[in-house]
Amino acid sequence: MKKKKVPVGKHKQGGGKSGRWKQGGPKTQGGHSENVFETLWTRRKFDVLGKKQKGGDAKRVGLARSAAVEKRKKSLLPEYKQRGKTNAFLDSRFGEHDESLGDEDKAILRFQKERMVQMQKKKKFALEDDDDEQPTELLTHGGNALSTFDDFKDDISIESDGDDDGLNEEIVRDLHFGGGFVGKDAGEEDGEGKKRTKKEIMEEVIAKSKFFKAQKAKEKEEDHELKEKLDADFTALAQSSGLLSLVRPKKVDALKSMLSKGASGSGSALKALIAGDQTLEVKEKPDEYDKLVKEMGFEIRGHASDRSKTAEELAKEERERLEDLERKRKQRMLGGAESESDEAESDQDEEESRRQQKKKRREISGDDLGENFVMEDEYQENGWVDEVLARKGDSDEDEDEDEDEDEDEEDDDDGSSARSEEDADSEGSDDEDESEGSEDEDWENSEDELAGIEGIPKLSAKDQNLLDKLIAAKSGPKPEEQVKNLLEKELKIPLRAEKAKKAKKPVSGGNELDSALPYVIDAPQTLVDFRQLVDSRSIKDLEVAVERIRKCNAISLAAENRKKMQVFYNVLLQYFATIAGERPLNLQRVNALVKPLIELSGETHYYAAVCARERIIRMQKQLSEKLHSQDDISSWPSNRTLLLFRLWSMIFPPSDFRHAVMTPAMLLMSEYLLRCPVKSGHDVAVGTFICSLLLSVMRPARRFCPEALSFLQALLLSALPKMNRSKNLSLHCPSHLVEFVASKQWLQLSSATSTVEGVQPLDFTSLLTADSSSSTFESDSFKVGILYSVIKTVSGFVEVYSNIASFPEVFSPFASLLDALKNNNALPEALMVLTTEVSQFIAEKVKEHETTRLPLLMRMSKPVPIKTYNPQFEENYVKGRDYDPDRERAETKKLKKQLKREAKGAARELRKDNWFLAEEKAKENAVLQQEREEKYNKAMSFLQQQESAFKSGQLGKGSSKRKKR
Amino acid sequence: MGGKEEDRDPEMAESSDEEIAEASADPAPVKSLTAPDGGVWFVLEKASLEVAKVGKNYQLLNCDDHANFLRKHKRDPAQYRPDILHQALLAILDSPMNKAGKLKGLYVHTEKNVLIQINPHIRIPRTFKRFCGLMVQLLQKLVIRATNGPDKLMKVVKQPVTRHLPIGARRIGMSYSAPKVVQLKDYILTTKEDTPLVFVVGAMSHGKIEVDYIDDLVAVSAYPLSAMWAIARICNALETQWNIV
Repeated sequence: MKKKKVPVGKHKQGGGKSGRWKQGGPKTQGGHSENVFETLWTRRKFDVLGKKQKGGDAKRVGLARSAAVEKRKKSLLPEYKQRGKTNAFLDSRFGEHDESLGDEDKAILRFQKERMVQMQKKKKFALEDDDDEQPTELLTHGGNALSTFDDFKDDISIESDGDDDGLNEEIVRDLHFGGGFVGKDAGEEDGEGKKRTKKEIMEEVIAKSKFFKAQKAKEKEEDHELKEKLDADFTALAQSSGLLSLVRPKKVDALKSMLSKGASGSGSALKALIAGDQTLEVKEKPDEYDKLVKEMGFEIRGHASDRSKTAEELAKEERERLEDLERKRKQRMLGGAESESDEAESDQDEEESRRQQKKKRREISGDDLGENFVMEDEYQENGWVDEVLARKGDSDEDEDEDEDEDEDEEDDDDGSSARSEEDADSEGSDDEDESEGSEDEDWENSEDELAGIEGIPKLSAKDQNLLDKLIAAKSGPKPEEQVKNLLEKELKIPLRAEKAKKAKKPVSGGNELDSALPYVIDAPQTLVDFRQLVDSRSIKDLEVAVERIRKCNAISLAAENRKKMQVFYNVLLQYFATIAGERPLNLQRVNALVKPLIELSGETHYYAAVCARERIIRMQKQLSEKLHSQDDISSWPSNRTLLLFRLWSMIFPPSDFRHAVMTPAMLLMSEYLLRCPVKSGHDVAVGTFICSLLLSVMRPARRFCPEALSFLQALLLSALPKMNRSKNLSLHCPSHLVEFVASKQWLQLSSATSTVEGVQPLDFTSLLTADSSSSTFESDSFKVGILYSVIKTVSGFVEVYSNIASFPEVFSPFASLLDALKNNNALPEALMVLTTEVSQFIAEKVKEHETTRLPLLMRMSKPVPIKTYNPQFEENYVKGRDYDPDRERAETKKLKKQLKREAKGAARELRKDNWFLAEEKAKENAVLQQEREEKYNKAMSFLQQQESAFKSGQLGKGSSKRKKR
Repeated sequence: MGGKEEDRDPEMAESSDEEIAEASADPAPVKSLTAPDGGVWFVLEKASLEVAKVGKNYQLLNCDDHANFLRKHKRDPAQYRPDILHQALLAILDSPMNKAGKLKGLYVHTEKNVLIQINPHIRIPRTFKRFCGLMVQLLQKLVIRATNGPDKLMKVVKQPVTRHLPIGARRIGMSYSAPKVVQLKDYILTTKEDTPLVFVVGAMSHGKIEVDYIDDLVAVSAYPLSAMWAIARICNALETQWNIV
């Protein structure tokens, strides 16, 4: 950047660089170079690009100063000179103050002004002449203004003037000697063309308009005449029969009316004509078609209705509904304190919805059963569990209680129709739930013993086969064995079925045809009735019978059917329990009952829960009795109990935080595991089954179940030989469980295990029904199967609990147990692989958890960051503008500043005036002084002369001089 | 310039960084400015902050918006990069190191030879447009105050920058062209714990810093780094050293 700094006054920057003088030197203005000393250069602090400074870089101070002096000489000096005077001579002559004018010019100007004044005076009173708008003041010649003559711009060219001396006559006549007629003609003509007066123009306009009007009137008249003629022609035509024959009869009257209209205008002859026509007119009846059309016109058109929803909207609604349900389920799963408020909210919601129940349909899912069941009572202050418990207390007998509940329910019900809708809904979703459940527990399928249980809802023989194939594929024994297993299975099932048939046949006898199922079956009210109806029937018939009973006594059909169905539900459950408890377990028959039971409990959910609770209470009582008794009977649950647990886990949602049925059921199962001493291989199998059942129940909500884990641990411990059990292996297992479960090596394989190849899938039904002292429980294949399922269950738990914080503590004992198991026993290959996998997985997870753990920290407050301040600035800052938000203050500030500036300026001016005046005074004084001095000197010289003359004595000389004067 | 510093606020002599403001009023360099726990100073050299009158109002020149204007005035638009300074300031002032109060002073020396002192407590506008507005005002008004406090957050101060830097500080310049490529956290360890550190970083688009007051010129990476990244490296190294998380 070029720096234009000149060291005037400030010496910091420049430091005697003489070159700058030339560089920043003054530019020549107006041809002559200026005095360098008259210019003052201002140094700019910041050179801002794009900023233009007024008057360039330099300020010519000397110039300004002399200009100011000049100004004062003109303004202040005369004033000063006039200061002592009372009168002043005012010279108001024109042009007297203008220096540039010469005397001649001044005179001319004066003359002009004078004439102007005269003219204006004259004009005030001059009458306006219409014709002549030319100002009278103009000099004229021959009636024309002088200005119209241009002395040299006429047709005479100077050349021609110069060329021939002889002026032609015309010119002479026109221009010389009283001529001046040049352009007169043209001017006059022009004057005619241009100067038409207003009056003339108006006249012309009026004349024109009159002419147009007349023309219009004439045209109109002609038109009218033409029309009349046309009308006359038409009537003449209409009268002739030619036209009438052409026109449809309906149009005739229209034509006539037209004619009559026309007739009113035209002559009376037409009227007579119409009168004649009227005889022709026939009164016509209204047309059938027209009538119909008019009627249709009055009919009501289609009503507006709701727009049919598009597929997307329907899908969206459905999705929203499902999302809502899922949200509710999650909320129930969490339960606890935080959901209390939600519950309170939903309580209010419930209140509202109950009010609108008839109109509004409530939405329910399969999981919703519990909620439905508690719908009426759950959200009361005591909490619904207490409520249910209280009810239990006062009603012991089933029947009695049934009625109670019935009444309650009926009281609670607002309308059964709404209810039935719900029920229908819940049925559907129950099915879903069922299928979901089976999907969820896919892994269980790989265990044979569980396969039986899993099969409960819908295991037909075909399914069983499929399942077995699946199992075989999963456990992965050699293909030959697979085939063998499958064959065995297939053989087994028909055999069993045959057995069952054989067992039944004698009862039913040959009268199958007689005892064909009635189509209308009243709901059996006791178990005996039902057994009579069903016992002898095949499974298919059983299904059909239950179906028919349900259809005939559907709750939606009649109000009292609810009661009936509730009793029937109880009967069905009893029947389920009975056949589940039978020694040769007819699994298919049990399966057939599951579906109707689930659906029915959807319909009578409250009642279903009550039944289940009742049974659970009884089971618990039985358990405690058995535990207290001194007999050596196994306190482990029977088949029936197990199957009921499984049934309930399918009916009721296991994921709820607290559920009237599932919570006690879980507790009871845990109690079995914890309190029952294992006395046989059968007990081991039952315990294993309960563990897997607990896993399936705990899985959705990932609840922690320490009992199952401890039991599994003890079982694994029992697979180890006693001497190999080190202290730390059994350390984590509760000591009483070690005693109860692992007192004997239930699962320790005999030394000959190496012969057992592959994992034999266990037949759960046969195991359950087998006698506890049966030899199958001693076999290695059984042990291997149990071990396999135990380890599978463990891996299931590992998966479910892989996120809990205490994972390493919970599962590292398992890892060490599994390792010990691997080392001590010669396990079959499949089992070996599984064991390794699970222990590795546990080890991985443990590592993962341990690495993410943080050491315990003192609770510290977070460090406080330094305080930050926001800078204060404006968006478009302009220097010098006051950005005070208080405008008034800013305004006063501005005014004050202005005042100060003005005051300063004025003071400066005054000061300068004073200097100027002082200078002037000094000048005057100097002049006076000089005069005085001169006078004084003169006088002094005279005196001195005289003195010298006197002294010298030459008086004569002086006197002679005087004489001369 | 100097006249502005004389009207000091009475509240301002409280924290240590206010001492700088105080010291800047005195012609003598700072004597007692050694933070007991070390601390870090930053000098951003060759920042391109130039205000010009574009059209009717004053604007901070940048290569994007004023390319034609700059060409008209025969300047190289590539040199006008106030966004680098913006990023650098954000990197310094938003670092955990600053939040922990370790930043003791921050100076910006512009290409136009203006020295700006920036209070570590300032919250720099996040958007570039607002940053420009702030800088325009600063360069015209020479001081920026806080909206929510009495402090002067930015101030144009007297040259040279050494008068504002602590005595006995280790002054380290950053340059890609420096012969020494160092791992910064090891390099910092070579100095004593309580030695104040002054880092001189260039906030320009091309070239290198040319200052005479630095003790050492180092490169913190084998690659040419942006100012922001160089600062980030410094901040990270210091944070690890001072255990600031």
